[in-house]
Amino acid sequence: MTLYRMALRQQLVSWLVWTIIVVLGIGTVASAAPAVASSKALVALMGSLPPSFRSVMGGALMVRRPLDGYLYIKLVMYLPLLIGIFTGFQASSLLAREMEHRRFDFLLGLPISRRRLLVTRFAGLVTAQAAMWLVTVGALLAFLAQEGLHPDVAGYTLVGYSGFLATLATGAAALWASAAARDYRSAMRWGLGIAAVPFAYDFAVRIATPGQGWLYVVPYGYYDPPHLLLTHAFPWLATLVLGAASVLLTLGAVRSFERREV
Amino acid sequence: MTAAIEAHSLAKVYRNGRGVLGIDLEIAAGEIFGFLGPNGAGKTTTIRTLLGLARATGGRASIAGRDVSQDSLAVRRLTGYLPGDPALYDGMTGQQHLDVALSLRGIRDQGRAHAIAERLGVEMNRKVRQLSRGNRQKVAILLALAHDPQVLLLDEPTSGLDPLAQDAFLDILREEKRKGRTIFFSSHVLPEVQALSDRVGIIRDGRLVAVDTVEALRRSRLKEVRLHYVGDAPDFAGVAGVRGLEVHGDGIVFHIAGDTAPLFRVLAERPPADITIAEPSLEEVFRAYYEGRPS
Repeated sequence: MTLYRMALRQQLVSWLVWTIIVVLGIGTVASAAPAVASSKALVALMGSLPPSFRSVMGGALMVRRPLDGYLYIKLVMYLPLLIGIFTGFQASSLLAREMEHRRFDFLLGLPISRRRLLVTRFAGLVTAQAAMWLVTVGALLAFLAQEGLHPDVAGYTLVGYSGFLATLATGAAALWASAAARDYRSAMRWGLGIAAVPFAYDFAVRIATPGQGWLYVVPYGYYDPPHLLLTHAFPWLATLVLGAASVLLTLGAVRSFERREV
Repeated sequence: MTAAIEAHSLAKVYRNGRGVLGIDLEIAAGEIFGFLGPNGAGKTTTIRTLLGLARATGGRASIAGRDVSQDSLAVRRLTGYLPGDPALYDGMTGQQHLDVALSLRGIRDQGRAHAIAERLGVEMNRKVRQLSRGNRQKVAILLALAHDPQVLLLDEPTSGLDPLAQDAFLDILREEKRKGRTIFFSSHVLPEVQALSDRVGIIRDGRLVAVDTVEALRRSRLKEVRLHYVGDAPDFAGVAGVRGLEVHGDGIVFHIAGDTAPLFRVLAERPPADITIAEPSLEEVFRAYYEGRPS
């Protein structure tokens, strides 16, 4: 618990900064959203968009089955990507920065294994990430309610859970990069690169194969927000795929960290 | 009886070719061993390899009979380690560092730690980022000593300490020795090593070039002498023990080893206008130490 508490303490400042950024982002979009706060307005807006742009906005399904609330299009779908950047950034510095500053001499001079050190530190980051998702989904629901809408608590919670899985995998990949990278700068490049991949992937999928919801499992952890919000189907596929990926990537990070010089 | 610290042909060579090679050591329990060498000679690498923080590329080492690479956790449980440039966590206080260190060692009683902190004058409740270099060093020393380890591995322990803290620290080390603790410490300060150690190892360019008692080192009694004469100066070339004689105008510089009585006889006959007698540099000690010794 001592190491875990220490890991949490180290995440606190970054967590606060990023959470404030995300909540402010939600608030900003929410304040601009009332014009399309009803299902009818949303359908009208989507119908007025060119088909390709509508695909990029993820609106195809929404036009067919509109939801009460517009915010998710701009926010819910991109929150995993935004929180993924936080995770990639934090995970990449989790080991590399400490090794570069030789701070591990203090911890590794104590009778603790590298495996335990890495797993505990990553657990601290994962906790910060989960807390960020809770605050984010909570803020989203609060802003929707303030707009006079009736947010779907269970649906948004499922979206948050799936997004958490996606950022968990991003974090585990960045952690491996942090354990294997030559130095801190290189780890940062890898971490941010890993976090940016889903952006590019999302854009390509929306343009090349619109409506193929299963393709979004990789970047988001869900088929598409409307699918989850409308069906409340538990995202088993995301849980299995992204959960397994996270475990394998973390084990890879442990292996790299155990082999390298600190 | 098992040696407290043992190394056989221990090597750690980095990709750039630097590191240490062929370190053979046997340090008995209760011994203070000074590890002397200039900056970059391989002192830190040796200590980190002994602790298992750097992976040996050859040979083997053990602490209290436990292999440092196979049984690294047990070794670290028995050992107190002070890094050469202690990088602590800026946002944590000394007390928080101590809480982490003792908690991970399963120690609840902080009585010993606080007694040491008081003797060293450690500022326990200030964040590390607010501490001076010397005060950070005190925190790091405290962390190495707090759990009453059997073996202490200390890399340049007095670096950055003020004279009072240095004295307090050296007193603590002598007490640890009396309790039978083994201390391996590196330094590039000759008098400090001479004052504290039972034996001294000299490392140069990654190789342990000599291991001997402090007495043997002391016998060389090397001093650097600088003289200034107005007018004719006596000829020091023939004085016993004088070596490396250089004359620059009115100034004369040389080293003298061993008995200084012949030199003082000459100085009494022809007193200089000015005289400085100083401790020699490590390089000069090495040279004096090896001159006249079989290779």
